Amino acid sequence: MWVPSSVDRLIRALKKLPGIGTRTAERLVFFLLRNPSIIQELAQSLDQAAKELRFCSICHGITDTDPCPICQDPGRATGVLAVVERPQDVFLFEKLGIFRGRYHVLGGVLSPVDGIGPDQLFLRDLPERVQREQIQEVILALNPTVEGDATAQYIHDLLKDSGVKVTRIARGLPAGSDISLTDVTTLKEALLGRSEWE
Amino acid sequence: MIAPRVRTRGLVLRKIPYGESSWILSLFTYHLGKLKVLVKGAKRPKSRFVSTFETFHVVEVVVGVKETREIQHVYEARTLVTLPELRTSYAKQVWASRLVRAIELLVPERAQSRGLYSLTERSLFLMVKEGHEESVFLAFVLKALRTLGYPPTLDRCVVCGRRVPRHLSPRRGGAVCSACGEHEPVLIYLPEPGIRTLQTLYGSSLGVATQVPDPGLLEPVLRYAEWVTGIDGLTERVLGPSPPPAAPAG
Ligand SMILES: [Zn+2]
Ligand SMILES: [Zn+2]
Repeated sequence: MWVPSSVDRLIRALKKLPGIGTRTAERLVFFLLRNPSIIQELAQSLDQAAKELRFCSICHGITDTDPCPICQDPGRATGVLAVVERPQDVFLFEKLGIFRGRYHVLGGVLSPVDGIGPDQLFLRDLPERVQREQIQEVILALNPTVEGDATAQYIHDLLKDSGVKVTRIARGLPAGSDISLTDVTTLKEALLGRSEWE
Repeated sequence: MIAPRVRTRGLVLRKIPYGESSWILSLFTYHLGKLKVLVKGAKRPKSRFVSTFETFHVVEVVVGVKETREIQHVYEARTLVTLPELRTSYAKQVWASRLVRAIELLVPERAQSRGLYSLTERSLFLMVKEGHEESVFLAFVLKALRTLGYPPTLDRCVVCGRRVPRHLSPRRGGAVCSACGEHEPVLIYLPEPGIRTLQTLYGSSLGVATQVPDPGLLEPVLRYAEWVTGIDGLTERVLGPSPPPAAPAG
């Protein structure tokens, strides 16, 4: 089958996205061909994203300014820091609208099976950040998995001498589950019902 | 044709995210050896399997086994053993991960080895519960080599039979003395009383390893295993990221 090379290129590019196979990619491309205005809009936003999206040098979240708006906002300097696994967890918590502190994105959890040790995560700068920003409480909002739990314990040990209060979001979440797939109510309750480390 | 269903016990080696909410699991099982299974929706808090399959869990599964399929289907599953110690100690998780990676590298996909499965499970439990991780791991590697068809000779020089070997020779399949070692292309030196410790770990039941102080011989023994099995990069891949010096074991 002959297809114009630009169509072929587009199909190939789309197929690199998670969850998109050949058939879906083709369907999307033919949809786009019928809707040129969407192509324009997509092209512009992808171009802009490619140029402007970066990681915040302080919290390691996704941002288009560095530092990100949250790290820059003096109103967010509440002395409470939420440690999360992935940049998208920040958006999740922002959507809840009940957390007014700042974030620290680890970029994953400790997982020696996958070759992820402390040096592969944004862990080393955490104690210094806690000092510098005079953090009084660190909330660990990590997935309740074997890896997430061991990471939480590791951070707890890492911050032991800094005098900061370390809390964990409540165990409303079943072990093994994923924060981003939890319904908003459960997550809200988990955050509100966080408990201090025993 | 309907795939025959097999009920078996297995260790969760690895979880690979699949789509938004599913996992592809790599299991090491008693009856089927290593295999991959798909567990749909298991990340969702309401999934019946959400807490079943965590890394290092020992589970009982009913799997539909279709030879032509690369990834098998799970019909039933329950957790048999969780190791809560791994949740509170990254250092212990590093050791458990070494065991997992050794299995991943040493055991071919779907090659059944009940002996090796039992050895793996017992080694994991001992390490996690009793400590002495290096000794247990060394015993595991040596005994695994025997199961895989590379039994190392450790009690005397393989060449001349003298009782003071100081080195391991992959070509000779075990320990050699200094004099005989001179002609060997690859020779792995073991500091004293290294060889005697290895003899103990290899010759005794696994539980004895928990009474042997960690001898610091992991690297040379893995190097030896790498040579005899011909698996490239085994040493580095098994050792992985090292345990952190700062954080104490939980
Ligand atoms: Zn930031
Ligand atoms: Zn000799």
